[in-house]
Amino acid sequence: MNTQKKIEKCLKSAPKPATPDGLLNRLQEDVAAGEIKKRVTVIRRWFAPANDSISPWRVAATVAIAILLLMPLSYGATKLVEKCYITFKATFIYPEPEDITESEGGYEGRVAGYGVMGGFSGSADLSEKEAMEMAEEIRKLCAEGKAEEVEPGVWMVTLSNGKKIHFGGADPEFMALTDVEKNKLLKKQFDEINELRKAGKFERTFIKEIEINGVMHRFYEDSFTLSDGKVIKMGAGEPVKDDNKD
Amino acid sequence: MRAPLDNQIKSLCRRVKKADKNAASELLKIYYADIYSYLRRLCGSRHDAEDLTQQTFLKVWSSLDGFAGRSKFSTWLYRIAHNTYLDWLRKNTIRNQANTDQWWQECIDQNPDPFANAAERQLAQRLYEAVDELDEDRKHVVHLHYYQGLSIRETAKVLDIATSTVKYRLREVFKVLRVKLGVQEAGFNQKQTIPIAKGESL
Repeated sequence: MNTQKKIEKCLKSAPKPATPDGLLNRLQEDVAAGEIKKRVTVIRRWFAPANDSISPWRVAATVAIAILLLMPLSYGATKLVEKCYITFKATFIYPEPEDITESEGGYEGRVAGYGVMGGFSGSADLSEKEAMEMAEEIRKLCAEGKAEEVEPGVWMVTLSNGKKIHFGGADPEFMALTDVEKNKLLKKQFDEINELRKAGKFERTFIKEIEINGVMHRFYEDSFTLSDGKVIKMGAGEPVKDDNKD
Repeated sequence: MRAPLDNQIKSLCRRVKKADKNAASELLKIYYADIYSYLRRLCGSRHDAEDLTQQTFLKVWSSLDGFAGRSKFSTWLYRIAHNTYLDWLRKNTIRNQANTDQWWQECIDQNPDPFANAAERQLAQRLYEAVDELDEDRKHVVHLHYYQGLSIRETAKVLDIATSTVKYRLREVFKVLRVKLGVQEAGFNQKQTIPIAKGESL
């Protein structure tokens, strides 16, 4: 064997330092202590599975599902606070509506405008401005992956003022699905909603007219009954056109 | 490192992403010793290696969602360990010089069996010492490719360099090691192709 091969053999057979006693336990303790951060990432993963920008379609789908399936939760989120969900909805539309495209599987190209966040606990006494600010802060925290999953499908964010806001929620059946299955189900529902929407087969309830960025908007709640009997309620908003002003 | 099936690792990663602690524990058992030995050899201190191993896995748990599975999990893990080491190195340059030990001494003392005789053991010690004296770039390719058993391609991915760069650095390493070991260059110039692993060559 020449020297070069000897060197190579020697390097390949370098002894392995023994792992210290207790190291594995120490590492396991981190696992047990909850350092596996599903809580941080679940919502981010759902909104942006490719770890890139937040998908409006997913945001809308999630909040729609939240409204539809998850309203009967037992804590504060059972209340759908009108001001807050309208303003939250508005923050998804503006100020960057150009980010919302049909290619994202959206709802008539403006899907983010139809997402409704169902119920922020303790927000009933907020002013319009406060609600808008809070909604925007929640949106940012979610986008930064700072929403903590406190129970399956229920997330909590801590606002800068220390206030803890719960939102979302899920029925166990939905949460038991894999991400792929959830995507598939939501896509199927959105496709059907789009069809119903085009066919005018939905009930619209006017909720409120509010001004966003100097433009008056009307917000509605559209109710769709799917083929499986499920009723999906979604927020919808649009600028007030001249012919609507009367 | 024992060679777990790719599918097994992928499945464990999927489960960890869903906060399955048992799966995380399994991943730990598979990889922690390799990561520890990698860092132990690099940082020259048992205690620092333990801390760095812990930091590495904490980063793994917090960023596993960002692991898209385009590369092998082990490659991704080594990359995190490597970066963790580099961060530590930047912060501890002065302290390192005073506190490093010779990892191989401890290993050889504990387990002299791999060496056929005293001469081979002595050669090994000189070699490992010479590797430790290499500059960081060259040292890393030796550690990853030879000590940790990663392929050229995996080594390149961990270091974020081209495979050709890995091969170049390894050739340079051999030149240095030969000199350090007092081997005449002329004797080696006759054959420059070094079989590194199946299907790979320098």
